[in-house]
Amino acid sequence: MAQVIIRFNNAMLRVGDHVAHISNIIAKSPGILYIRGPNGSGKTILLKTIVGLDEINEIFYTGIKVEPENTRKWFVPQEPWLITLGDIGYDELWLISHDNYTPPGNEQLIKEILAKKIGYMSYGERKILEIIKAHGIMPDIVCFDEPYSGLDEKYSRLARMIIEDLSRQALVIIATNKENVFPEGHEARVMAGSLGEVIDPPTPSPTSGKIIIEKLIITRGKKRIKIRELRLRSGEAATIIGPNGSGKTSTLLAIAGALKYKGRIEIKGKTGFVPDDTLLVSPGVTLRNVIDNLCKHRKECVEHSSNTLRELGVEDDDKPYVTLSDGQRRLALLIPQLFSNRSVLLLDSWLEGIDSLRRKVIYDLINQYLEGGGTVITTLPRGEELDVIEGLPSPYD
Amino acid sequence: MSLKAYLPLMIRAGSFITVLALLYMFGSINSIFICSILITSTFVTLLKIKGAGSAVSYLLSVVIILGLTYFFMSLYGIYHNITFIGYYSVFILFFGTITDIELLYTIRHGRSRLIYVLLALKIYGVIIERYYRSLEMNKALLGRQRTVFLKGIISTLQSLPYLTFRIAEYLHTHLPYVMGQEANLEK
Repeated sequence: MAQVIIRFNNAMLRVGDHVAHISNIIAKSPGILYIRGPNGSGKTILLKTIVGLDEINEIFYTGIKVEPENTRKWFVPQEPWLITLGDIGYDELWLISHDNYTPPGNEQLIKEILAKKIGYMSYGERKILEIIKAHGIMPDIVCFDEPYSGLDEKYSRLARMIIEDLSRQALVIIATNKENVFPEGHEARVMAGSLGEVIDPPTPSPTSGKIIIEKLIITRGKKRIKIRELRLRSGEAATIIGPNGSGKTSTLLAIAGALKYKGRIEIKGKTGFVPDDTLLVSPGVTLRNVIDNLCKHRKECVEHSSNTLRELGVEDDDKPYVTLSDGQRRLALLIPQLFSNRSVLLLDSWLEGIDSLRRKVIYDLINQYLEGGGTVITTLPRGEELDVIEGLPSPYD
Repeated sequence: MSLKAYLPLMIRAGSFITVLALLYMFGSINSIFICSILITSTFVTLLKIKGAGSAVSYLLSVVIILGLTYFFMSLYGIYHNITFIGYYSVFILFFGTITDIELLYTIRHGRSRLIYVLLALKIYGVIIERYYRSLEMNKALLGRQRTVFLKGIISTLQSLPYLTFRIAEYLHTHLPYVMGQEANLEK
């Protein structure tokens, strides 16, 4: 494989009104380049530019040069693709990679993932499939957008192994908002972006909530999810822990009343929900519509939500919801629900995709919501079996 | 012209109305894709009944799709991109293929025809699966009230260009490799 070089020379990227600058760097294959930046700093548009998706997305750029020009490039997005050509993982891999390809890592685990029907895969499983596909193609340059977010320990280990193997032959570029993903000896190039000067959001004022779950059974295809008992009073929080595909999202959907189930679910008050895949919901066209709809047009809620989102760096009210970054969409769904008198909040993949700058603010807001009498259920992609633990885990543990 | 000649049109128009009714009732992102397929398909059938040839009717379909795309894009006033419009047209024509067997016989090579149909069917199947998934998520977030779903439908219609962008990105990155694989098989 011939050596590939990317030169960033006073590079600038522009999409609409958004402008991002990158410091001078030369990255060569094989190896890994980490790019770190907060939500909305332009990491994704940089990756899309490198792999040649700039024209589709109308990205204007200067100062980025890839040598040689006919380099094979690949992009692994933060959210799995909306569509896939294959029916099961093996189909999808077969369509794009060579016949005798075998991915590195735990053979049994990989076989299980690839044999699964893509439509039944969880968010994390679809993400790991995309990482395997990148290795199957073995391009000269492969760009990963937040490759480890939403993965449990088992899949995270597998993802690291595959990406490390890729980096021995290709140039791997990883964009992330996290500070703790860099192996020893690796530095991250930082893209600019910051919070406003003072973060002092209003206090959420939920109505008192309560949840009682007894002998809950949810059936999805061949999978049966069971929760024997969960009781949460006003001001209490619980976290459902389990690996990717164990049924965390299905459990939250059943509690929210969107799935059929057997057993007893009793909820006092209105529920709120933030999904792991924020592109699957359509709460409004623009950010303003989303806030209006989730606040049910209540003036105080709209004002508090807009101000808080502005302080968190999600500013343009007329910006279409789908063009916000994943972290910004998550905030746009969560913040209005904190101020809209919902008694119970169901948060899928707690704090995933939200950068460290904003995590503390969100963590404090959720704690204030609990002190005000709300009830919260979150999920975490860790552990070997579906389990429920009490309390709200700190993002800093 | 006999009533029998209008039968395909009636079936497609019926499916179109059914999907519109489902869209009204549930309102979800992917309903609009199904509607796009059926609009194109109904239009093509109508043209054929009126005596237009396959090539002419497809050409006119592309013109109409381009018009609709430009309309959706101008709602935002952001994207006026030829590449995007091209991908959108190809994408819709994939679906047109499913309901237009005649076109398949114009593709002479067996393997190309197989891959073409495979692409169309797979995309179609996955979109239906995703429709149900997004339906659950929307119910959890927005509740079951009809007014909320109507708002969802409007936002779905207006989100069409952006969803197509994601699909265009997928096709842009994947198709060269898919075609490469086809070339290897033919060796």
